[in-house]
Amino acid sequence: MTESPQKSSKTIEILLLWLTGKGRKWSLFGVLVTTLFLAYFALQVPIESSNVSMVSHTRELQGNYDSFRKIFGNDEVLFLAITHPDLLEPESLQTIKRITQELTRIEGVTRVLSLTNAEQLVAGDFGIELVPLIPQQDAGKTYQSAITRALEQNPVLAQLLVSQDLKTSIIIIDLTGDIDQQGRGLTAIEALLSSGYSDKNWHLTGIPLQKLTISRLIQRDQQVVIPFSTLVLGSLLLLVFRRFSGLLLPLAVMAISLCWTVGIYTLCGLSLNTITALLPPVIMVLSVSTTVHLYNGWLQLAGKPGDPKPLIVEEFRELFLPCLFTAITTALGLVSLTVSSIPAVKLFGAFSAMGVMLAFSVNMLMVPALLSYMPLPKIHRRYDTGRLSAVLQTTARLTVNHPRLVLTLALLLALAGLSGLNHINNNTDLIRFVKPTERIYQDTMFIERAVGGVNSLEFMLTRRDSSALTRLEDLTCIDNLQAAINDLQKVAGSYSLLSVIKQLNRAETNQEQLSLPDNNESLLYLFDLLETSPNQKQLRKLVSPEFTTLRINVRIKTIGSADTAGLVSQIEQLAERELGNDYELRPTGNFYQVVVDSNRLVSNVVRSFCLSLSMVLMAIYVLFRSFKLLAMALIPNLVPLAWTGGLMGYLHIDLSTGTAMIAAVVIGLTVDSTIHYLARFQREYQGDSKEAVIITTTATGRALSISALVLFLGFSVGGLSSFLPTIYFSLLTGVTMLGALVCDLLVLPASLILFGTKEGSPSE
Amino acid sequence: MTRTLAVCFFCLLVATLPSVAQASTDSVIWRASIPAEPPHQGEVRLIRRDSALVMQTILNSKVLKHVIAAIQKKELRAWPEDREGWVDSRRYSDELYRAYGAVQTDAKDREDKGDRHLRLLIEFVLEERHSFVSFYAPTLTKRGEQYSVQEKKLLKKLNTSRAYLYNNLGEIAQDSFQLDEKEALKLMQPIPGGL
Repeated sequence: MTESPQKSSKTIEILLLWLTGKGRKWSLFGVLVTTLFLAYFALQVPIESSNVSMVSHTRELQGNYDSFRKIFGNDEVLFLAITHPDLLEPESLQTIKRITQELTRIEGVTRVLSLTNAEQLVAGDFGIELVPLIPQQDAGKTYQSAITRALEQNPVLAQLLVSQDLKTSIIIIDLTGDIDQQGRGLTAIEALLSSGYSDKNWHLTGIPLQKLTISRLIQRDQQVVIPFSTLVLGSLLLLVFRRFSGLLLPLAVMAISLCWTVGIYTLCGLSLNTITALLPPVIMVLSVSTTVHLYNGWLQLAGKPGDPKPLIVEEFRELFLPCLFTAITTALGLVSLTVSSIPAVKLFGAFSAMGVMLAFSVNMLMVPALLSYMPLPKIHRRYDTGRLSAVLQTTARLTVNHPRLVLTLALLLALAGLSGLNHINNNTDLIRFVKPTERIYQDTMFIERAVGGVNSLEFMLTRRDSSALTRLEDLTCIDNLQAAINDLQKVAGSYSLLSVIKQLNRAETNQEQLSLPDNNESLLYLFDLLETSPNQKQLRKLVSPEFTTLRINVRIKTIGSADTAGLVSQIEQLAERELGNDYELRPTGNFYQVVVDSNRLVSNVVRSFCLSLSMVLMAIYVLFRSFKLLAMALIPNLVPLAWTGGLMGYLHIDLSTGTAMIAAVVIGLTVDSTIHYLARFQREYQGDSKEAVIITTTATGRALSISALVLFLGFSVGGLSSFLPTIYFSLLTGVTMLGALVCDLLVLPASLILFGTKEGSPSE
Repeated sequence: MTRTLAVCFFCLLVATLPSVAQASTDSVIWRASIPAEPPHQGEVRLIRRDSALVMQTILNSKVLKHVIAAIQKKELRAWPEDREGWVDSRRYSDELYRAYGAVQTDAKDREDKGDRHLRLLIEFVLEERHSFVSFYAPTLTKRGEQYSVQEKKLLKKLNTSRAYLYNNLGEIAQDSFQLDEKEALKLMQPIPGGL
């Protein structure tokens, strides 16, 4: 920006002369070759099959989770519910047994636990014996009562494997940690259930399936959203320009920009996730904006005599800087998202910003070159008549005659919006990300109702002195803690090594009750027994080899991250009360990572919004060199955000990974209209603000309205997504764009009239 | 009188000689850790001791009670009431439990309280004319997964029928060495004194 305007203008002119002259073939050839190259990669963009990019990778959080997985293995399991009115009849149990056996044989399945293969420890003739939880054969009339008794004696297993009404049985399926094998395993499980057990009432859920479903939905969304975006934007362009070139040119730029961005994304070895799945519709909408301005500029040349090339160069030279500037401000807004701790949001910010700048480059390389091959338009349609013009004139008159009223109303609405912000909950609920009509949602809710919950919080318990947790006082404290945890309302159940120790003790002492041994000697013997157990693999899921780290799994009801965060701190308080300072309880697990990230959303939002706002303000100041204009530019950009925030609050839309991006993205977009308005206002201002406002609103207002409509409709297509955060992001961004248009046409002019008159010009 | 004393002394010497010399004349035919899957609780070895065939079971376990229980369970399964040798099996099981009691009592006087391992050595010995089971409290050293017996204190010697001992050698060989019946019998050839 230190270059003199004349010099930069000269450089732009030389570039445009080359692009419309000798260089146009080379430029188009270059674009074509690059597009073919990148399209090859864009078409092969992989879809993320894990939610690894949806959680932040802070050292402590990731370190805890890594050590958890190292000690206890994969914490992601599937829950298969089989419902039958006579579940405990031999016939139903035979079905469960058959499914269990068939599931065990599937590649990628490491363990299957069901009513028919669960075991309990009992006192045998020669010491402890591992026997089936329920009798394997029909034992006549006493069969059902034997099962009921077995379930009563093993409450932890019973709670896990069968619903309270004894009508639904849960089969727990452990999958390998290898993502590819997991995917194949899941597909095989679904195929088995759909083909072999389609007549049975089954429900399947679990984090691995949720991830796979998300991956499938992203794929489906890409197939729906991209064509629909093209259709909507195409229809709008046809309606506005009523020319084939006005339709084809923006669509070509849109497709090429998309190929470039997604192609580079793939070349970087990245996969599309729930958030970056938004890249295609966002790039499509944002790339078309510059084309619209350039094409509109070309249309303005209609009827002008002479060689079209110099005229195009002249027109585009004027448009180059505003287009570059608005592209930069949009990119700055998007790039501010890279301060987020969530990789998916970071990637979206970085690549959408890059996409906007790539779209600007594609526009500048292609549009002048292609238009230089075409004759200038013959008919110049008049744009100062019609309904839109009438509305704009009324708007202009309103701001000129009642600036205080306009401003007061806007500010009152903004205040109402701000009060609505209090109602926004910071909440991420992975299962409620998908629509209630999806099978995964319904199955999850069914299993939640049957056995209490499918999500788990994991805790790693250690002694601060790193000694083994094998003393009776250790286990007594942990037992008290688990009892307190189980009493919490949002907890469906918990299990740890204590369940096994209690079973061992009952079998060893031939008691009825499940309890811990009453002395350290007996407890040590139980640990010796555990150490020599042939089932070490299962034991490692509960305790580290040296008995220094104990796993406590807390199954929770399907609640969002906000409630879960509260629950975690409740459990931490209970741990402090029951365990004291000698122990350390570290929460971890896949679900916990989502919870922590959700809690960081507010600070992430504030950080990225502040960054976005400051960068955009800096850009405005560089352009206008006026603090007063800067202050006035702030109002029409912040007010619509307050409205959207209020809308979210009153409609109970949670602040989640998707909706948290709105503010930072929107500020970069809405400021474009403000810049266009202020630039025109400055040009039109001749000492009378009212006069300048009327001219600016009626002249620039049309372009701003079309642009806002393109953005609104373009973003609204995201409403067809399968994910609620994406739908909210798309619709709310679109709505905010309309709010910003209202503010740019009403609030900004009112401010200019009220605060810009004394000095004669808003410029200082 | 002197002559009688000399004969008695000679007889005593002959009787004690094998136990003194056996460590040096033991030739291990086959050995395997038990159970086959870790954590192992000891080792089973088939030994040729001079002309005798010995199945030596070294147990070194913190949960010896449960190991003993497992052995007793196998005995019960292998020697049902209608099988010849059932009485020997019952006597063996009873003595085994007594030997465990003795080992447990000994362990209470041990200086190293931190070591909760209990050690027991069982030998099924098939000689040309005798067949018996001996229970020892051994002192062991371990190199890798293999044990070596440094000392052994005899707890009990239980004479059994030749059929029981021979068949039990076969059962143990099949079970511990994971061999089929034919392979196990082949391993035990030649049978001292024949069948």
